[in-house]
Amino acid sequence: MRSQMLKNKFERYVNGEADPAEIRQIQSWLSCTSRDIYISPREKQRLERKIMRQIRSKAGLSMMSKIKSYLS
Amino acid sequence: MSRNLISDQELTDRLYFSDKDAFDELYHRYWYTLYAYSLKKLYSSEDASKVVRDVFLDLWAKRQTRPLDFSVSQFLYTEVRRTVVSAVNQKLISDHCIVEELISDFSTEALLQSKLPVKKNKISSATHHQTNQNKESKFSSIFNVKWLRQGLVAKLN
Repeated sequence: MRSQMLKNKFERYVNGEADPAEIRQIQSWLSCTSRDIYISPREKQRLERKIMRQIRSKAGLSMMSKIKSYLS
Repeated sequence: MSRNLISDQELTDRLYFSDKDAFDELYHRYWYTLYAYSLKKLYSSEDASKVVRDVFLDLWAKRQTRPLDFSVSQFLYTEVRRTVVSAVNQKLISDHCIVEELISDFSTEALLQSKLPVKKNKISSATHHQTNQNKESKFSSIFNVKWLRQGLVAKLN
């Protein structure tokens, strides 16, 4: 029930059909980032590489530029 | 590529010509901010990674169709918010834990609060107070310097 209510609200927002109060509510939720997170430098590096690999494979970006830079 | 010396605008211009180094540099500059933001909203590293991936894929796909007044940071931050909303919408079907996390932010009380006119918040009033204090200290320091100079001139004479 509650998840359906939230889902309808988000769907209206995504489709541009939300009323002004709902828009403000979602935007204030989007702007609030009080929760703290900590990621170790090692994990950060791992994630950076992992996401980049995914982007490269999805976008069809070859690794040629990297290989060239390593060779030069 | 020498980092920090090249502006976002120049990198965006290079991106138009499918410069992969420029794309790498933009990714290096922004990925973590976008990832941390997505993680705070989605409570899942996997989903946050997907958001970052999709946002940068979108940047690459639209590299040659950007408007004249294109700002890469504005594009990335707008896209990440839009993608986060879509991701939350998807998660609501499968992940019941996120409903518990979100429900307090989206209660009827919260909706009523958001219908109220925007109030002047404490931060802006604190900033205003700080600005006034800075002005006062600036004036007092000018006064002190003048007073000191007058005193020195009088002594020398």
